[in-house]
Amino acid sequence: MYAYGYGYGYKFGWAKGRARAWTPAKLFAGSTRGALYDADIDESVTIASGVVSQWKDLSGFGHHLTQATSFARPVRESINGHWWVAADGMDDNLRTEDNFDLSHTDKITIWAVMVRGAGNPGRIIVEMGNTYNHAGSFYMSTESGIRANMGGPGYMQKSLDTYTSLTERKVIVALMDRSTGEPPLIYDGGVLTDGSSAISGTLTGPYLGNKTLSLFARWNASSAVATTYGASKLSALGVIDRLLTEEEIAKLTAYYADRAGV
Amino acid sequence: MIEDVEYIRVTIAVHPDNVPDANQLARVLGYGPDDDRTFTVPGYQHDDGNAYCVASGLVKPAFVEDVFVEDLPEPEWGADMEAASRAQAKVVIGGPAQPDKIAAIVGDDPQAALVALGLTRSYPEE
Repeated sequence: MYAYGYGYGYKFGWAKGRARAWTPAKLFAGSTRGALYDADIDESVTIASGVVSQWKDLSGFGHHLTQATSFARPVRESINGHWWVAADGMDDNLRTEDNFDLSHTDKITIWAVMVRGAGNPGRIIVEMGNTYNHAGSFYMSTESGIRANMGGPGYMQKSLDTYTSLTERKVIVALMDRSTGEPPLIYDGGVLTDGSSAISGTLTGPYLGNKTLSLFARWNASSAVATTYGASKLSALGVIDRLLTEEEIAKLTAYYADRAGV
Repeated sequence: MIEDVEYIRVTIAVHPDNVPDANQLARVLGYGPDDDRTFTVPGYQHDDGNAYCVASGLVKPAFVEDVFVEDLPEPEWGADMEAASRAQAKVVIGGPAQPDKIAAIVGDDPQAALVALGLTRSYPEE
């Protein structure tokens, strides 16, 4: 469970006692921006008074997620022998505090090892930006199963209704290319599954700079408060400034297969 | 990494009129100055027509006693103790949510706590 050390060894895929095993951190070797979170890497999760105060970015880009308000901190729990960060769907959320600048690209990939969770609709997994459908932003949620959305000034989204229960663990990969005029592609368990699409307007330009990555919450237009929360659970999450290849997606799925119960 | 401390979950409903005082009480009973942002948006609705702010989190079991302690000590990061005291006088353990009370439900499931508080989530227009 803790075969990989956080930091240098993790980033370059050196396992204790094994040389150069593949880890998702290797995907960032040729990237200029991104973030990688893994609750199974013990040192990456800071627990304060029983809750998660910080979830460190393992990509090397330093986009650590934090929460200063005690009641809004998620918990870490063990499922299937692995660690997960679990939000209560009431007020829990984590945010980056630095400048997560994606203004150099119109292509990103998001992946998540996640549980849909019970409770409210609007189960936001990850959102970039200050506003729902904010120009240049994106989100992934478990509305209508799994939804991936690129926004600004219109939006393009795809939804897959492939969850069979509220406790099912999945590895989801969403490829978001703003240049194609098409909704994101979603890989569920390493398989590209066709789902319903929605398009409104057109997307122009790259993603925005100077933005915040947020987990488990949807932020309103003022950016001061979140208005919708997700009772979801994440064991790992990644954002990278390029489209992963099918071979890389297969590697990701295989890497996370044990914790996702695949 | 793993603390050897047991925690309980408490889910609290606050009418918007009481939010400033309740946030000062959270600042006193909490772990840092940012706990005065515990209650934010009144995103929950009661059948009586009132909206409420709800927060849910883990606390030490002593919380259910500490919240009623007279003359709470001011935290090192400071707080409006008069406001905290006003909020303290309105705390009740158990539901339902009431405009002139700060209702706290102890229990692991925040969704069950919402039921006990008589609240449902209201959503902003998208």
